[in-house]
Amino acid sequence: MTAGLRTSGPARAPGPRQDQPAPPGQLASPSPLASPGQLAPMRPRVARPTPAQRAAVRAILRERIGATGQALCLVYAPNRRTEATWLCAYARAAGVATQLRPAAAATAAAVELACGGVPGATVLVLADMTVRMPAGAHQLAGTDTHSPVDLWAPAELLEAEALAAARRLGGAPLTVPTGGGEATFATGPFTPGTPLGTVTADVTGADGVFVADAAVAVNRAVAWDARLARRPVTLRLAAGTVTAVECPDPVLARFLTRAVHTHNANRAGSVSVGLRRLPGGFSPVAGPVNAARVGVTLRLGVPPDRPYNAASADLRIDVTATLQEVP
Amino acid sequence: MTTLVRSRYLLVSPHAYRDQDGRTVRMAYATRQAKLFTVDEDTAAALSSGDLARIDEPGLARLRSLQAVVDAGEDELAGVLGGYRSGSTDPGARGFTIMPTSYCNMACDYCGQEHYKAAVDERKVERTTARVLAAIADPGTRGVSVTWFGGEPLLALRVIRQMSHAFVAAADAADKPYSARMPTNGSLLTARTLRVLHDECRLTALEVTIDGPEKLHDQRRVKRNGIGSFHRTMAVLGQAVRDGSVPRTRISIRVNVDIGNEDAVDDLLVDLACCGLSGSSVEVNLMPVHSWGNDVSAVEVEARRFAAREIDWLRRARQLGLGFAAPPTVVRRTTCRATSAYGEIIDSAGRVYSCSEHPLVPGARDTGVVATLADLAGSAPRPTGSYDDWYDQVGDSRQQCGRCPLLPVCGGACPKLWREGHVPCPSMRHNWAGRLDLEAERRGLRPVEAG
Repeated sequence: MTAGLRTSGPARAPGPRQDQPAPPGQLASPSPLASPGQLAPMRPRVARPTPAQRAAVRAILRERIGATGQALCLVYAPNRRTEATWLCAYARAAGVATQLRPAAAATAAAVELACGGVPGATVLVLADMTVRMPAGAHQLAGTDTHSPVDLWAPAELLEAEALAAARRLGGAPLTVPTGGGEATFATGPFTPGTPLGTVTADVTGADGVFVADAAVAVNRAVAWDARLARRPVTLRLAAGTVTAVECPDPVLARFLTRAVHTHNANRAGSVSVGLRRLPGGFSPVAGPVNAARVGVTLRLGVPPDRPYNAASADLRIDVTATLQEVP
Repeated sequence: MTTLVRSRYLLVSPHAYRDQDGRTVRMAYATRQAKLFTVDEDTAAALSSGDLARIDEPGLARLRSLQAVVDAGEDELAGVLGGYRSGSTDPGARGFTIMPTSYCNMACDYCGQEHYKAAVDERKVERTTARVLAAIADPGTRGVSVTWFGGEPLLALRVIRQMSHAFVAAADAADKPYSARMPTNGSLLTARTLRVLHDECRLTALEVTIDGPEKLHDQRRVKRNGIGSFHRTMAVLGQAVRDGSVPRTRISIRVNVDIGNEDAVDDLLVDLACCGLSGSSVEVNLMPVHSWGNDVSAVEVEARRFAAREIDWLRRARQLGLGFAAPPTVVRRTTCRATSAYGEIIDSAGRVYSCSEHPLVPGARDTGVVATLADLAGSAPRPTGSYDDWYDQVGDSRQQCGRCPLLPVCGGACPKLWREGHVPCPSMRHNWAGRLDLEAERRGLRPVEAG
């Protein structure tokens, strides 16, 4: 039984096992034992992690599993095979019983299905889009241009910045000036959402106009481009509730209007401030990483006492507005 | 030297797209093999003009293998009808539509059925069971499929479970595939019922009708006790999809569209998305309300208008993450039960029909009977019904389907409606180009106009 993960020392890059997936496009090399004319046994290969990525993988596992000795289940979307392989290899090398669970497709529905029925294990979900996860599971999301291993590794500097931001933002109402108006949020204390790089607070009051011009994410398997730069979403807020929705994109407008007014996903539940200055713009993938970029994300949800339908009671909508600077 | 010509069963998109490598291509659909593929602009132009000499040998060979081009002398219609005749007289594929009840707990305005209550007759249940078991046991049978139909079949869940138990056990013992499907109004679904249908009854497809957002659905799909079913149905289906508790059952959300709800389809699509009815195991199936012999002309959406609106609905459905059926990728072997000698409908009174739109329809209920269970020995095929000559009618041009390029994937849709003077063509007849556009978008191709 494992006594926990190695926390220091040179990284031993564990070799991939036969049951581990290989990234697409990589060829298996012939075994040196194969005779000419014989077919060599296939041995999948994956890209080796860089030294920084090795350290990140170890740090992620240390943080998520630590010395609990709990088994690990790695659920991964097809585009995250490589990271899943790294995490699996290092976890197994540390003696952690690890199960790999590929999702059939890079969709929220497929990932959610793959998450089912893992009692007694730590579940890490390598998927970029917003997914509805079972209790206790942790999502490690990336983007088209950023690996989740890079984004979710604990980083001291970022943690310090988050702590400072949480202290700075605590106490006074948060006023967010956005392109088409200004919204003011009364909040509880801000808590760092590290390692991703956010500080988040529960909203106790919200009034004004919030113009989300960065990104939208819904915990449903929607298939639209998450970016809002060309189709900003304007929310009018009063007493913590959305009273009106506007958006020039008719599909998004209809969805948000109906989600807010019919399915009651109208309650401002929390507000997050993103701290990371990642290269590139907001991602078209509707996932959690957009909330970590410098900006403000408002999370809308259904009040527990006012569900429209049991199947939409967990509906959650994150809309992000750009900011020039962290407040 | 063989002269090749463009197949009459080839559709080429009128729109050009750019693929990932920057090439300009068009979508093509060879319906004889139900294959969707792309062709480059030059090939598309050659196919359009008929000048196939402009296509190089490898290109021609590929098109020939897809039956997108054929020998000039080939009688393609005869080939297609030959395939249908072969599929329709195949004793290996047995299909039964079983109506365990003649009653429905709803009374929808547009429904052409006339429902009545009758106590379950155990003797008839035993005879129906024996009929299917005989088919499973028949050495010539390769597989059996059962459709549980009604009325509302879930009103007779006990009977369905009882019969399914026997069918599944017999099929397993004979090592023959068995599958079942069920259209239902959904009002009696519970999480437990769904699991029973999945685990015990081997249901591979469940079609639930949701006709609109809550208010509209509960108005149109009105239960006889006046209680709405929208919330309950959506909650049960949403939970099942989320839990993955019925992984081998495909869920189809059927929307019967007429002028009373066509403007609410967009809102319903949003409701389905909000309730999590997305993913690979769920698809939306938009169907225009059609006549069952009853007059629905006052509420029908004109076919071309429906087809045009459907493309917009499907495009929005895709953005919302909802699945829908792509153009068929499997060639049909027979049009329906009515065109297959080895397909039959058995009602709760033990009467055997060839067409599923006969048993509960006034008039046809009596005239459409081809036998009773007592008449049929063992697994012998049912007697000939009204539509077993369908392919002869298509072949000698008494029906216009012989001229339609979709015949290999459609089969003529509904012989009964054609005979009654209706045009039951699927919407794809009018919006196939839009559907090819959707398929191109799904493949990541970009319209050339968009650059």
